[in-house]
Amino acid sequence: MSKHSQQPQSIFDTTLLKGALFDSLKKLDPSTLWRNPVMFCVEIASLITLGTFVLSLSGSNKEPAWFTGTVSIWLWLTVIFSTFAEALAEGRGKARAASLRKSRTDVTAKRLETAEFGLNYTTVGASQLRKDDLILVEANDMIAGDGDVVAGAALVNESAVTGESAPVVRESGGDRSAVTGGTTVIANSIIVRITANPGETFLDRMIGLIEGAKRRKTPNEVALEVLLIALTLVFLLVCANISPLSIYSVKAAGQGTPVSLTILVALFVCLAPTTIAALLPAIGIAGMDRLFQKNVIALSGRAIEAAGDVNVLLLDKTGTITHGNREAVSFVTVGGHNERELAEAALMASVADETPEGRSVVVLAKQKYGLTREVPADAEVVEFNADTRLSGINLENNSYRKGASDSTIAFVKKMGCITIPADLAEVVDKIARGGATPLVVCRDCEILGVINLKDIVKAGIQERFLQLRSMGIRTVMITGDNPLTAAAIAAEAQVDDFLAQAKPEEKLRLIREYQDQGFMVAMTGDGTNDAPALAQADVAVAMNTGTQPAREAANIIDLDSNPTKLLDIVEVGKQILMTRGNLTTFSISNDIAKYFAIIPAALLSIYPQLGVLNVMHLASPFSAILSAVIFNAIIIPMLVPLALKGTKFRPMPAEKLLIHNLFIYGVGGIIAPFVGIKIIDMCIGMFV
Amino acid sequence: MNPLLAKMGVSGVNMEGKDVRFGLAGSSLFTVATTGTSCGAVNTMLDSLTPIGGMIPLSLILTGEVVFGGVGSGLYTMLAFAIIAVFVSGLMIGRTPEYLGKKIEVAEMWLSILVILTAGVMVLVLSGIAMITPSAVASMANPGAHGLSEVLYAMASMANNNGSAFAGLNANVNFYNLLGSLAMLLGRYVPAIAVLAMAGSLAEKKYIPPSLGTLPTDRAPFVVWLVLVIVIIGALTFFPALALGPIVEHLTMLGGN
Repeated sequence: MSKHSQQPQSIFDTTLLKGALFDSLKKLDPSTLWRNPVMFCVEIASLITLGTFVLSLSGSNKEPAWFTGTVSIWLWLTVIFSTFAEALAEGRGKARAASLRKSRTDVTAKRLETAEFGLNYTTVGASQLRKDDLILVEANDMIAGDGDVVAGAALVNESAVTGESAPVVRESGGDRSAVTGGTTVIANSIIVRITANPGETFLDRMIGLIEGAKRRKTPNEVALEVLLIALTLVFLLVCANISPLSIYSVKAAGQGTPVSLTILVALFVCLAPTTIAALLPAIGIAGMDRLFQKNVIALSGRAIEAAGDVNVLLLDKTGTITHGNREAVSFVTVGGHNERELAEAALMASVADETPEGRSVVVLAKQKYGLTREVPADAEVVEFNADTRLSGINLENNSYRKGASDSTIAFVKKMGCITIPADLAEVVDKIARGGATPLVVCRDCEILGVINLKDIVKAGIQERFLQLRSMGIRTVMITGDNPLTAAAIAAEAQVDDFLAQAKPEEKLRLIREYQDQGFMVAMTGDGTNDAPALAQADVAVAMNTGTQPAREAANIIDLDSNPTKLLDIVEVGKQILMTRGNLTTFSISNDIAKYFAIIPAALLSIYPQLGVLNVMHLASPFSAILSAVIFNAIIIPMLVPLALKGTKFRPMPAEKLLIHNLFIYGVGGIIAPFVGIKIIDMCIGMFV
Repeated sequence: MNPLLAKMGVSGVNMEGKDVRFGLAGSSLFTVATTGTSCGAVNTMLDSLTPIGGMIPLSLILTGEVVFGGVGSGLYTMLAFAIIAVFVSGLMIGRTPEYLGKKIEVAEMWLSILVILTAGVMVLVLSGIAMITPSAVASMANPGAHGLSEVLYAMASMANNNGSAFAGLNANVNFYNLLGSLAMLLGRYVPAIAVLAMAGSLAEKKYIPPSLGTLPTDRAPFVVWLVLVIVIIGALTFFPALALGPIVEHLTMLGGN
């Protein structure tokens, strides 16, 4: 199975960079920039310094023009770096959206009046299709819109949406009836009932989301922005307060000059949390993009962040915790029969059985005793059916069967057997208690033994659950198995809890129960009967192969239809929040050094004693202020890769994680600017 | 101790305006304890403290009386700081922040910011206005850096303490009476109302049981972080003003001028 598109792109792709550069200048437009209030203030500050620069050129401002000019340039760069980071994050999404859009151009549809093959159709454009219209899609036609297959079955290439080149079967009825507009039928014909109006289809929503056009700020993002705006306001007042205080101090000390507007504005920009404010939009967009690289489409940013908060994961046993199919792992004889005899009978009962379980019996018989058989020409194959619940084969003189214990006993009794091996019940019970499925094998009226069919737990899944547990996330296994089997598998996979014999209403009840206790619940599902539970869950991941109701009830869609993805989604959700938190801490911690750079420099002419606060021994007041401004600006592009890739995620308990991040971004955020500003000051010293 | 006094041949600690029964250490403790709780009792003339000595009670007020909690307001400023600290640290561990089992969202952010910053904003705005208002400047007994400290203290105390002033500042003039009453009104009631609103908002929220993914707020790492937040947001806001007031005064004193 090969993948195309959706490959992670390098951050420093040249065409992307060029596009982002152009977009970053367009984003300077105040009518759009005001959505990021902190950077909007920085833009105003840049304008003011541009004014003081013009004034110093004309001589009405006493400050040297090289100083006001350089400050102005770096303040403008601060804004541009910020819009550039956002444009870069959006650019990556746009490139992907463009490739999706290609698959949507000018599709025509064959509209039918009734859902029957062989009738006349009218050809219409995809844009004219409305909900509940019926269309005929034949081989090599592109499906014109999202819908449900109402008649027929076809092989569909969905690579335009999923990047998966292997075609999939879509058929009416059952859980595989949903088709997506923009995908192509390869073989056979189907009739599709359209379920979305043009502009509202899955592909349209996907493009909108990836482009970031319809991105709404998440509640967490808004709350953080509140904090950033408040800090910005306070620092604005701090700077405004310096002006009258310095005017008074000049009078009182009888020397020096009040702090100039340029310096006040520079101080304001340095103190305002520009680093995080500049990177905030990019972090959210890049998070969605990272999920998309994993072939997961989140229908809202809120859903991803909710994933980061999840306390309980409901995981389907089949496909997530265990490999989908049970495998035969051993033969257990009863009634004193020999094992080879049992293996032969089991092989005969399975040789015509094309189910994965049946084939695994054939494989085991070959592995253990080197037995191989073809289906005899005169054989009468008995397929599994719901009444007898047995499968096997009838030969001329023997008939072989395998099935559940009670069914097989019923069969041999019907064949005229009176005694059942005494140890059968014990063996069957033992296997069942071990979480496996016992399949009893008989030849005619003789019960030979039991096949031990086991659910194979995926390798490495225990470690995954252990990590989740250390993050405080409970895992609950959902299965249709009986409680005995479920308990054994739950123990082997080391999940925290399980729900056996799960019915849709049971799942819904379980989710509500957890939610009432204050937990956030995530689940995956694909069937129509999962839809109510998906709608109830806080984070609902639907498989792309799932039904339309399931996909509509979900807020995240997994294009690969791999249920283990839930774990990746949780990770990305946490990463987004962590990146925001870490950069906020870094940004605020930076202020200490900036104060020590700018305050002594700004007030030195009034009180030369304040020179002792110049702990970094910066060369001159001008270079000190300039160094702080430059540091404040260049830290933004330096942190762009971090913002786009996200903080590295390590599963560990909350407190350890806090210590770890506090050390890097808190302590680091205090020290880094001292070092950085000093280095920049030394560089400036070489030129001035 | 004080190089200026040493020049005059005076040795020993600065006992000016202090209760001789308690001595320097006892008086300092008394000052810090009473100012930190805004109880209003004094045994020391704050105006006569050394510059750094005066800066300590001033800083206690400016950071929102978080050390003990003011009389009548208790630890609400500290709780608001804790909510801000929880918010950022919650993000840092990748979860929607929660404090005492309650989710911290947009409303709580607005309200805790009001609690923390109202008094500080009043001080910044009013002291700024004072320094360029001739009648306000004329009230100072000691113009210069010390006078600036006197105004800062007066504004801080009116916005968030018992409304006292260093003795050197004649606060009984129209300017201080009018702006001071504004500071008292807003500096007290805005945080009080905000904190009540926050209590209502938190009470309505569902309780989330703690898990390994929940950040414990009663252990050392969070305490360190909380102190850092208070220092950076609460104290650094006043770094420039303090630099022009007590800090420069202290440096001048050490310089022997």
